[in-house]
Amino acid sequence: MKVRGYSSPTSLNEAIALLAKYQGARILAGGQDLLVEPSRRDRKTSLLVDLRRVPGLTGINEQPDGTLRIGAMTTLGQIAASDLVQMKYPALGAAARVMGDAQLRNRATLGGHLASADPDADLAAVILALGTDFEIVGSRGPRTVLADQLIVGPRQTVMKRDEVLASMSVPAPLPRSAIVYERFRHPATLYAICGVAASVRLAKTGRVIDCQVAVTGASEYPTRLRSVEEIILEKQWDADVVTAAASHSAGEGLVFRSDLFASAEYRQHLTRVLTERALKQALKNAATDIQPENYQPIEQIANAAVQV
Amino acid sequence: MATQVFGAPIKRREDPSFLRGDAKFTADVNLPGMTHVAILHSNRAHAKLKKVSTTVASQMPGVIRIFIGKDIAEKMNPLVCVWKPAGVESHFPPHPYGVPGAQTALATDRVRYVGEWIAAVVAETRRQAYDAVSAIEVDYEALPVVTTAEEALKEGACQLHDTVPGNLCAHVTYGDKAATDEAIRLSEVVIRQKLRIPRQLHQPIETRATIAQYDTTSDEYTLWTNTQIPHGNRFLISSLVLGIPYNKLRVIVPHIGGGFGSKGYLYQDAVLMLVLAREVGRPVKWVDTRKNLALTTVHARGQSQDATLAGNRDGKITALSVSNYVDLGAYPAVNGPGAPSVLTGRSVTGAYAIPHPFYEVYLAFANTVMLGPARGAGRMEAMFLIERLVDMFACEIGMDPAEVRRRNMVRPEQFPYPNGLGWTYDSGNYQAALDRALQMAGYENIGPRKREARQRGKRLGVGMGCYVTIGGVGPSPRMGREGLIGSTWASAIIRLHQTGDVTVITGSQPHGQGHVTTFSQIVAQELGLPIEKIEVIHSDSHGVPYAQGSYGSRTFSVEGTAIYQAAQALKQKALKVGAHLLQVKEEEVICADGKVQAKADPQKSKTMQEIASALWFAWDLPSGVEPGLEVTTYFNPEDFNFPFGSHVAIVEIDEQTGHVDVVRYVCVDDVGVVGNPMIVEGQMHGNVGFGLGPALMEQVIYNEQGELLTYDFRTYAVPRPSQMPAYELERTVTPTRTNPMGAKGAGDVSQPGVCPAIVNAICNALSDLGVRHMDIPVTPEKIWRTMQEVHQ
Repeated sequence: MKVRGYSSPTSLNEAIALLAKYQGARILAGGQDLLVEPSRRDRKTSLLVDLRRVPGLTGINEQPDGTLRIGAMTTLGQIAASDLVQMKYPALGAAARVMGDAQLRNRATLGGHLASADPDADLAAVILALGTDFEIVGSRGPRTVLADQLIVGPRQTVMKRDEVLASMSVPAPLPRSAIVYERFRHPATLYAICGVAASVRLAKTGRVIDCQVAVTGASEYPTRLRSVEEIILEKQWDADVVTAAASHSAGEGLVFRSDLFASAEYRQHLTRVLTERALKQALKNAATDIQPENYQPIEQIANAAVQV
Repeated sequence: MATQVFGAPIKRREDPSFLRGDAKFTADVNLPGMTHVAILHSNRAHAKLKKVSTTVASQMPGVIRIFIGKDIAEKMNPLVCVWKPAGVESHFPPHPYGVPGAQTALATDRVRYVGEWIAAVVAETRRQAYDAVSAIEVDYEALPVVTTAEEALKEGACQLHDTVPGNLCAHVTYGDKAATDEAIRLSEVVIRQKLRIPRQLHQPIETRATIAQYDTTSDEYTLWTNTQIPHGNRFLISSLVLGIPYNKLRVIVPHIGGGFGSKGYLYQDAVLMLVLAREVGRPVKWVDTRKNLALTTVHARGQSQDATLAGNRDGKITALSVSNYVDLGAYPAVNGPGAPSVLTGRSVTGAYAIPHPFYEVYLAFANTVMLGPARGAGRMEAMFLIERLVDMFACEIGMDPAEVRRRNMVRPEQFPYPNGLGWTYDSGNYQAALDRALQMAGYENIGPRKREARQRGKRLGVGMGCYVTIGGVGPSPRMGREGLIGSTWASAIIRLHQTGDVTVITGSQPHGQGHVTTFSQIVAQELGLPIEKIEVIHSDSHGVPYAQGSYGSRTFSVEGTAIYQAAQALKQKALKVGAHLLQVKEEEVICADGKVQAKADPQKSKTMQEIASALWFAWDLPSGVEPGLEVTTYFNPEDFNFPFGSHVAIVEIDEQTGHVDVVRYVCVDDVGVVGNPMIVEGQMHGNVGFGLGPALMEQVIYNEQGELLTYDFRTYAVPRPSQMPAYELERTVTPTRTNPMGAKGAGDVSQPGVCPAIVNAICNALSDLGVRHMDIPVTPEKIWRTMQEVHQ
């Protein structure tokens, strides 16, 4: 990468104006993708717009309605260490903690991580399953994008070149809900060969009334596993057969990646296995909130035969 | 000083400067007027070089000069190989001095592997040098490619060198083939297995780096480079490659960020940078990149073994026969033929007394990066072979693999034990180490644990890796008989100053092992002086005696012995002078607690400092005694030493994903007498990591065009701390007879036990599925596929 210029604006508007003005300008957040880009000398960057001095882009704050707002320039290290995150969404903290190493997490930012639409991004699966909102600010003002609309392809997002990802809002956890993230680590990069996040919510009766499952690492880009969700929804939480069937459909229609360490076929297999594990655990966790009169013993799940 | 320093786990004296980040590595060295070099590598595995055009590149900003092969061809000879397999016909690339030749620093008319150096750009800055490299145009004419020894040796395969018919460097054999074949024929059980050991990349944290300077007024060259063998480099460069006087070349080694055998060579950069510095009249600096490291730094392992083990149903092994095929790369590394011939071949009986062993290896040239040793060199490949076959044999006859091992291990009363392939094992108690490791791992109760694991969806397996790995290189006459054109003795100088301070000078070359600490401990113990008084000087050919550097677990037992002996000799002189000063006879004094004391009256004594001071003043010395308290010694060991041990791994395999979790890892190692147990323990940790990698994840992959697909941390996996198992270490102590300290090698000796322990455990976990063998690396996907096949 060749860089012609550098700027560190002190307001979001100034940053957006620079991005609009200079064709080929790129945002510098933590630099963990940008700075380690293979030294592609053909890729010219007219201007690096460093967001470090832009106020209001960092921090993890709980809103009056219980929503958690996380600024885009918040580092993965801050998310991993946040008590607030740990309390409300342990899976989010856990996914942040497995990303890279401590040095990387101290630099890498939430926004940079998502805006680069990295196909290995652990956090992306959790965020897709959580159903967060993103605040994106551009020349034409702010707009809100849902989690599953942000990333639209391999290293592709819906963001325009004069737009900046400002923050992410995670809705407050509801009763009888849970999210679990399961991953299989790549031996070389230590990112996910396959990571699956499953988020579920149960009715008082134990019926699944909300289910969002997402995969990262295995396929071309982080994405929701809608066929799985459809099978699970409206079913009873402890129906193992359903969980197994749903897992079996995991990855239908997806294009799986392949490298020297894991073939597409193996990644597809892992997607199914991890979907089943994440779903089972999430259902089990959510069920702990169910009142005793409706309670189904957890052992039924733990001892159930695995059918893949 | 009555406390025991030798053998104490004292903290490493080297560490503060590393931990503070003060230590200077080659890339940290900057000289006035320094220029920077970038290299153009071949991206073809085998091709004629029709044209190399530097016209555009040489006009680019900051470019001082660009060198291609023909610019330097008259200014230096090809590199050399100093290991010519003994007693057999061998063929190498040519060299004008008649020694085995290797590659030229820059290719002239032909490239033979992806990565071969084609051009060197000298520029004002590193960035300018790399920019210009991308502007050099090369016109190749493709030639056929071979990337394995088997392919290279096939009739009609493309020929790499005119001087090497059939691409065969040498065919080396050890043992009696006819007797072995006959023993196999007469045995009740015969196990045959092909084992493929892939190549392994070196990935030290510091890449190779070299700075060169030439002084026109004195005609002297200075080299700063991170080599494990500075004196060897000085000798080979001056005498065989550049043809300059030995004493006009100085080699300085800044701190080294890891070697593991990757830096124990003469590489093209060292010589080329000297020539470039002279030609451009300014110092030049070259620091490799991570990706390019894999393209020219030696690869290791890479064997294709056809193994046959025979035995009887009583558990006794009768014979072992191995045919091995090894690709040395396109050109030989400076010691390239050594590991796959001697280190694997003579070691392949492992810890067992096998009546009829035979080993042969075909060493071939192919279109790959040159092959050299890595930690556990040659012996890992040997131990993997024997330990896998012993397990298969045990399985075949339905006997506990631990019991088969016990029945065949060399027994304590058999030492010194000649293994039939050329080694004479010095000392050991192999069965004691195995039994202790099994006891620690709870081997007896493994059945219930297997059943418990199955309930959790895991397959549990237990595996053993017993090893005997040669250390202490070495006895020079013996190395000469093996084909090494060189020597392997040790040297040391100890100087006790009039102030009581001590200077120890070693020719050994530290690259992370803690030489300074351990050598200080030897001297502090022998002279009875505080460790703080002792400085250890190394890494500069000016002022440091010739020695061999550090490799092959030789430093403590060989270079350390030279220091030990120097301390003894120094004490002898101190006793003589001390007795004189105390006005008693020499027989009436002893050396204790840093003093020379009268035996009859310990109060009557002179400190070492007082004696050194007397020798400095030289006003009153016994007749015939020269001033000064300084000793130079050399140590040429009679034989090698043979550390040994047993490792036990317990693994759990996820039945759904094939993921392997090493849940217990037990090591019982024996490296004889140790100088610093904490340092030895650290080495053993490193050995486990270095064995875990090839067992589970590491492998070099070439495609059919000879392009290297594994070259960085995205494409090549090395174990990180978070992937390491928790390990439990114990040691037994069996001194060697081959040096006065009783010390054996430790640096890389237990690495060979790791891979077989883990793979045996995996095969054990899968044994009820009929799995007999899995080639390394045993990846989760490979296991998953194996389990799938069985289910179908």
